[in-house]
Amino acid sequence: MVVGGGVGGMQAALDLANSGFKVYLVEETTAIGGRMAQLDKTFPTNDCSMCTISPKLVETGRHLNIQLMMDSEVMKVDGQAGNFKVTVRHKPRYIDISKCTGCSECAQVCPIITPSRFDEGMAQQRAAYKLYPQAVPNAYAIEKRGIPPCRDACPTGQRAQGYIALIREGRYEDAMRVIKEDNPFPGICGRICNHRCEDDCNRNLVDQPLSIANLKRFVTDQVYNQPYIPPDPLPYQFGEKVAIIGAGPCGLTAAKDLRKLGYPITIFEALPVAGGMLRVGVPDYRLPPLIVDREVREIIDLGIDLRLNSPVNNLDDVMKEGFKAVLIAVGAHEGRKLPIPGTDLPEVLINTKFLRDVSLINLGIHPHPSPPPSGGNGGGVQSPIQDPKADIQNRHVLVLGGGNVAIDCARTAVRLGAAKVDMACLESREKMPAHPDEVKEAEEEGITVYTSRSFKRILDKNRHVAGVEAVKVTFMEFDPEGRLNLETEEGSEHVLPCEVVIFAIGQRAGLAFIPESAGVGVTRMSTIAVNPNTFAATRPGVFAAGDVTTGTSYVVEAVASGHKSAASIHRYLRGEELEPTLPPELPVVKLTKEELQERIASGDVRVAPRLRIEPRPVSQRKSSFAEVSPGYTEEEAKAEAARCLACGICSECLCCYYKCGLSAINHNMVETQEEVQVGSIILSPGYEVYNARLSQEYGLGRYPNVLNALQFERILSASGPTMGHVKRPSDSQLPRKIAFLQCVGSRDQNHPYCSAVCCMYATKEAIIAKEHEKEIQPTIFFIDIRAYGKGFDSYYERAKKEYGVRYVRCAISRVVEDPQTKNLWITYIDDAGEIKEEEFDLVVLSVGMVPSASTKELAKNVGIELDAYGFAKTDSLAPLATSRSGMFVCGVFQGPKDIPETVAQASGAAAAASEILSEVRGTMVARKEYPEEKDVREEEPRIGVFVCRCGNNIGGVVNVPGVKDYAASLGNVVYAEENLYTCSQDTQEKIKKAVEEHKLNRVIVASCSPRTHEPLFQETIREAGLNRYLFEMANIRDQCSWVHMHEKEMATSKARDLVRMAVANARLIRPLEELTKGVTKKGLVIGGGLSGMTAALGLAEQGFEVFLVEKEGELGGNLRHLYTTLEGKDVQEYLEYLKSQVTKHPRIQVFTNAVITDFSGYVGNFKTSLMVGPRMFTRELEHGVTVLATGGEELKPKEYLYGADKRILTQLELERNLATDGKKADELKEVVMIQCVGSRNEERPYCSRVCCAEAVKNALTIKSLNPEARVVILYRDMRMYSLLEEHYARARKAGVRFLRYEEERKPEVFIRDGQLRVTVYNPVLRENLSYHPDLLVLSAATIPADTAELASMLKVPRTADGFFLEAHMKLRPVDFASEGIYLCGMAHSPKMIDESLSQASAAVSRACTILAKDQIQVGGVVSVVDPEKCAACLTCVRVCPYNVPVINKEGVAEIEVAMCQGCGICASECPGKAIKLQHFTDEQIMAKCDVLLEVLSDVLKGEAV
Amino acid sequence: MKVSYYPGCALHGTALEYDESTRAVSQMLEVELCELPDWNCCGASSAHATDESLAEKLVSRNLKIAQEQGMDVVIPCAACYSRFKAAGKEDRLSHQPPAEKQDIHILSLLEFMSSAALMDKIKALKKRPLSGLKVVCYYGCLLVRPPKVTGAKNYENPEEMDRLMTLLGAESIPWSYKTDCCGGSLVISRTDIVRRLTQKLYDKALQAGAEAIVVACPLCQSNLDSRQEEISREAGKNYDLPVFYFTELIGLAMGHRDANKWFKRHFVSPAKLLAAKGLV
Repeated sequence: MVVGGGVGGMQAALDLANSGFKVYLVEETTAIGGRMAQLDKTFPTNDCSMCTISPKLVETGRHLNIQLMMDSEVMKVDGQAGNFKVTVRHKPRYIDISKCTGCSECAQVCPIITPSRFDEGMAQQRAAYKLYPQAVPNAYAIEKRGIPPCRDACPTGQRAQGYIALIREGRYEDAMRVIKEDNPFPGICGRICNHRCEDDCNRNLVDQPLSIANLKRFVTDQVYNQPYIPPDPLPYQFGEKVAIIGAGPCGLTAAKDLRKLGYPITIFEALPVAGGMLRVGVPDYRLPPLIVDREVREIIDLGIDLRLNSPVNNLDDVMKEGFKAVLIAVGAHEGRKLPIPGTDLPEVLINTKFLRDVSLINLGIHPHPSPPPSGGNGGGVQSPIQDPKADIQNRHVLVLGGGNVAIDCARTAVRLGAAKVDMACLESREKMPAHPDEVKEAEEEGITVYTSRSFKRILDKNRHVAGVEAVKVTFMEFDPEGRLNLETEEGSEHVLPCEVVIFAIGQRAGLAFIPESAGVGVTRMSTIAVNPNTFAATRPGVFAAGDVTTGTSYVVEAVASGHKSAASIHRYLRGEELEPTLPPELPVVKLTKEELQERIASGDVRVAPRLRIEPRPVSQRKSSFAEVSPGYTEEEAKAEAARCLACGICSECLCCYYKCGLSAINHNMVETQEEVQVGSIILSPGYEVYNARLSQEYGLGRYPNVLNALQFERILSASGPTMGHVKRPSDSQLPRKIAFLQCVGSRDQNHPYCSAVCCMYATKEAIIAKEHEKEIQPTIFFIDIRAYGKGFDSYYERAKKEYGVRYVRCAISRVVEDPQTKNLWITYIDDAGEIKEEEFDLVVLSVGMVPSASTKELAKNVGIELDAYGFAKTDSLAPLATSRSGMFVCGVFQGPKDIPETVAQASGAAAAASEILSEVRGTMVARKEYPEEKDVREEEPRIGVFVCRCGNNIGGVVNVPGVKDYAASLGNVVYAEENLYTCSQDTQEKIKKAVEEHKLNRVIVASCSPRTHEPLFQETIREAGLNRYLFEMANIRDQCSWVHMHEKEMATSKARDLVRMAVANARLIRPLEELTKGVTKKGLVIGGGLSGMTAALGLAEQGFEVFLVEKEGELGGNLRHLYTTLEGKDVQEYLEYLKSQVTKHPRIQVFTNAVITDFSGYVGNFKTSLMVGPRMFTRELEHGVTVLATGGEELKPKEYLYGADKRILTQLELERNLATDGKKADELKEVVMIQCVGSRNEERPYCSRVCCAEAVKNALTIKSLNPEARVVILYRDMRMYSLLEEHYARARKAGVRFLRYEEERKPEVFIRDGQLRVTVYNPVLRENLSYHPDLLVLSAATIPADTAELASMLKVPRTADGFFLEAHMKLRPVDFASEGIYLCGMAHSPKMIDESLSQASAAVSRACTILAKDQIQVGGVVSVVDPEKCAACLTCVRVCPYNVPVINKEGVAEIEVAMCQGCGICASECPGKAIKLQHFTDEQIMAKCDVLLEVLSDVLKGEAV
Repeated sequence: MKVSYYPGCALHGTALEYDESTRAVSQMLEVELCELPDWNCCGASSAHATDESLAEKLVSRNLKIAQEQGMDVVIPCAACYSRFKAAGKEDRLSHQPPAEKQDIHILSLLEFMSSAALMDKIKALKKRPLSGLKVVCYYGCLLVRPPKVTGAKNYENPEEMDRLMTLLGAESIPWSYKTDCCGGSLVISRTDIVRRLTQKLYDKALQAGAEAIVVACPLCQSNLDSRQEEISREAGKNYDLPVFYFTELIGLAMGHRDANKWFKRHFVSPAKLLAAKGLV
């Protein structure tokens, strides 16, 4: 198992899988690729990072023996090395990877905007996203953080965040769809809901909550402005009839849900109109009747039998009609009066009846005098309609009650023309149940509110109301049972004058139609008793929901209970368990103030109060029932919607779900756990960049023009937020002066290590910025420039000299912003020691690497130890092994490092992980079996063309059916079809079938890009029995529909042309043969030092025979001169151990005193001749792989009087002296060391990398032997990179003095009067210092072994410095371009012991990918020579980058199939056209061009397009 | 709520308006300030520069009184606060456990006033929002730094005062000089340096678009307030930047009737500015 899918994890997985093991690759994000995928370019070659990594992505993603576990984390590891049991947690991705084709349609319809992770927050992405365009697996994912509080607060679970985002996008139909799925009454709730969602809105922490209710209303205003189109009646799925009593919000909701499930529904409604309280209880000025009617109608039109004027008088009658279930949802329509004297007076009205009568009369239903139907009072609303206007007009009205209904009554009375309207209630002002806004609006309309009153009686004057006698309330409270505790002030009796009294003190259900015999239990509060989870009443088949079970409540509660009761009825009718099973819920997202502050600081959130809607003026309001609030305009609504914080990220609006044509979206996915058994584990979880916001002095997050280096990397990237244009965030202008600040989050108190890469990446970013825009002037502020890697120093020199990058040696303590220009000021000390202030347009913080929190969690879960900084604890002599046996580590998790070292370690870790499993190699790998290939060479081409719609990606722009028909009309095309997604699994089957049925022998897919999809289709036709080269692709998406999105006709024309060219080519393509060659399962290692021995031992332990060739008389190489490591390990002891392991290993043959005299062959089959001393006999070896470990050595210096005096030594000489005769240190008073002797100069423009550490090590040894001795190290840059930094600090603490000298003013050494003298100019003090040391120690360069002859024999390249040159600086650090030959150790470049060990293991791993195979496939797309035409001009020999062509015995060029890489350079250069590259022949290219030119001439003739 | 109060010498002398506004605001917020009985000099000015032992003893005595009172001690002056915090961390001379371990906290007045509870109260009592007033908040050197002494989290970019100002309705403009030194400790010995440092602060505040500076330290206030005339004369510019104590602005926003009395003690009169904003 490999944990972490960055470049290290991928390399380890590939090496293991390619050497015969099954690999699980566990990655916690949605895509592999890691940090490297985010980078723009790589140093020191300036290669495009994505271009180099993407073949690896594809290979990893498609590998038969790598099982990707995306969105996954390791939770636990049981067992031991060789037999681990790993528990892996898979987080829900909400998109099925196996179905997703990466078509992007889900992201196109997703309304949620969130800062893009891949672009480090500088661009936006959707909640449905692919991490980056080239991501592997090529599948989308949905990001969810949890349930937004607005949704959580709503009883119906209304997905407010979703429809708000859709409003912002102007997609009102979609918004309406989202709303209606949770709540069929948006127009109603948008007006009269008590919107608890707003109370819980996280925006409350910033300014004001979103105006959610008004936004909801806005949507309905938009949609209901369109003419009503009735929905198609729904089909029936079930036969059981369901009766619903009451057409209020609860009953209608349940009716809709059950009808959608497919039940026949009948609604019984007592009133002449549906809508319940919404229609007859809420006055029109608050809720226009049109809205209610529209929303009711939409439900009824689904095919529901609505029976108006149909009171249910007896429940049994309904049951007898054959209904299998009944839902009682009659609401609470019976108003109540207080039991006080005078309530029987004619001017005493009741709230519900009053409002109902007003509504019905407004509706045009006139008073009718008929008495209530006998026998019952279904729904409690069957009293005759009376016109209350007559009672009210010009009278003084007093409404008793303090709730919203009371307000409704009062304001209705105003509109009916009352002379004066007052209200009086029990509650104090604060405790009034009415919404404060309503109270305010009522008062604006002239209503007086008397609070804290209790009512004694209604005064009777000649049987007419003459006022209400009230007392003052001092205390009131309802106990939990609902009983009232009341205290009144004695003697406070007073009369509230009035002529009409309206009681509005609550309402209850009318339950007369349920006699006791009905078997339906009723509570003391006059509600129906139900199980709150199932809504089942006490009689089977009878359910009740809404106000009838709870007493008066809000509309949303009724809707919610409607949904739940419908679901319950469905379960009941289907015979399922009645209690609902709830799926696990995501957490509710409660943002913190801190997080919001940060989002404000980053500009993601802007502080802005909600947009207010001014109600219509009072003067207009009082005389009419027209709506009080005018609602948002479109512009206002969009602006208000844009305030949403998108708390949950994905809002589950389901737009993606409806859009996806492959049913890949599943919002119900939940976290799962899986157990897998593995033999060993490699951990490569990578790192995070330091959060530089913590270093507030630099102002990241506060100053817009301060960025971290990764952000700047994205700015430089062509695929980044600015498309590669260098722009600064504050004003999108080109920053001319850019400052890079080094060591941010490195080499500080909290991070006492060096992050190892920042000097180089800052240099790279400076160079690339400069390449983008010449005007840019980069300055890098640094402490030491640590350009210690291969080719780094010359890169640094080039940055200075060629690109004019300015380097200033000064650590910067703070950045100050100019408030107007947003430019940044930096104070530093220049070379002359002057304090300078300088203005910059942009500051880039070179942030360090830190282990992430999830990495620490991982270490805990797998049970390995970490060091003090949080990196994995390893040993310098076993750098890849963790503290737990069988678990290995690579990459930055082992310590900060760059890409090539990560890749080398990854390969090394793969070798270590497979070593313990070498016996089971090849036992679990899957091999693909193919049908026999059909021979089609003699057949006439029969071409099949498959044109892809790619959902809307192509189909929405290009006329796909047209292109298909066009393709079918072309010569040799015998079959053409179009597909929604040609790459989906079922289409592969279709292609295979088509090949069979139509006898196709060429297949063309016109779709996306061969870059991602060619291997898939090749695989498909191979499975259909066709040679994989009989495939051709036309790119009509990336290069056509995407780039010509707005020119549909032209794009269609271009797509036709592309298909025509593909057909022209397909006629000529030929099946290509691939040959198999055997593999000699033996390895040759050249060089018997640390690296060579380690490599030999590694290969032998993997089960292969090894020849180890050493030119000297004994094994050991440089290791013989080393005694300890910086960490204090005994090197000699380790050397002895290693030597004995090598010499006694049964599979290793050691040749010492041996010279290589001849070398031939190719990967899998090499032949090497040796001369072995002392008697110089010849040996011939056959082997499948070759490892070069020829090492390097310490330079014998020519400067500083070396050799003239025995007190002048090199570091290795000093180390030997100290180790063999430590007593001598006692006599030392002063030791001076000079760094960079023979390195970093014109002759050797490279850094020798090891000398700083060597000097510090020896200095510390001297200090430990003799603390009194003064040790002075004269250096140019202390290159104590990565974790070496701590030893540098240790040395300073021990009193070692570090003094810098400048290259131009080197130290001078002379001997006067027998005394050693060193003088040096110190640039800080700007003075000369002089020393009289007892010893002068020179840190001499490391130089490569003399390998000129060997290199030419093996035909492998070397650098100008004489080190071997690997195939690719970043991703193939131990491979040569020629396959089967590897390098490691100092032969590659100077390096430390642990680095050599890692590289040697890496070479083993790479070699195993060859040796593990029994055969290798060669051929296919390779160059072939026509000997007849060859003039042996040597052109091909010279141009081939892999040194493959040779002039053979016949005197003509010969290209070994097994070695050819198919690059085609020779074919293009051959002057005699003797060489052709198969599959890309001249005839093919010409044929394509011919039809292209035909096309062009058509255009010129005006025929095409 | 009751807390101990250590005004220090400045609040009984040059910074009387700081003391008065603090007491006025506290009263409105129902906070009872119990001045430490018989408090003595904190040693910030000369003792700590000349005699380490004396400096610590001075604070120790004050701390002992505070401990006897048994309540958190609130300190309006940044210099006093710094001395208390330094001694409170490690009471070396008395070998007493540090004051902070004895359940009493040493709080700067700003820290105290910007606590969530008091912020809520201020919000509730706010009568006259300082709308349109553009200020920069200046914390100076000792209020948050050194972090080892103060324990402040955001010592490079403190925000408590900014949050208070925003709460009061003023516009608190971000600037980079919140914790730069104003030269307060060199007012007598090196006025040349002080003039340079303060002038820079005026310039940067003006550049940021501020109309006034808000402070939480009597030394900063007197230094920034009193030098404008002199620097204006020398520089040939006209600096006229009112320098408020944050407590004065809280009092103003909560509608305390004495607010104008406090402002009368300033060298640079804020009357014109406040009148222009309709705040007097």
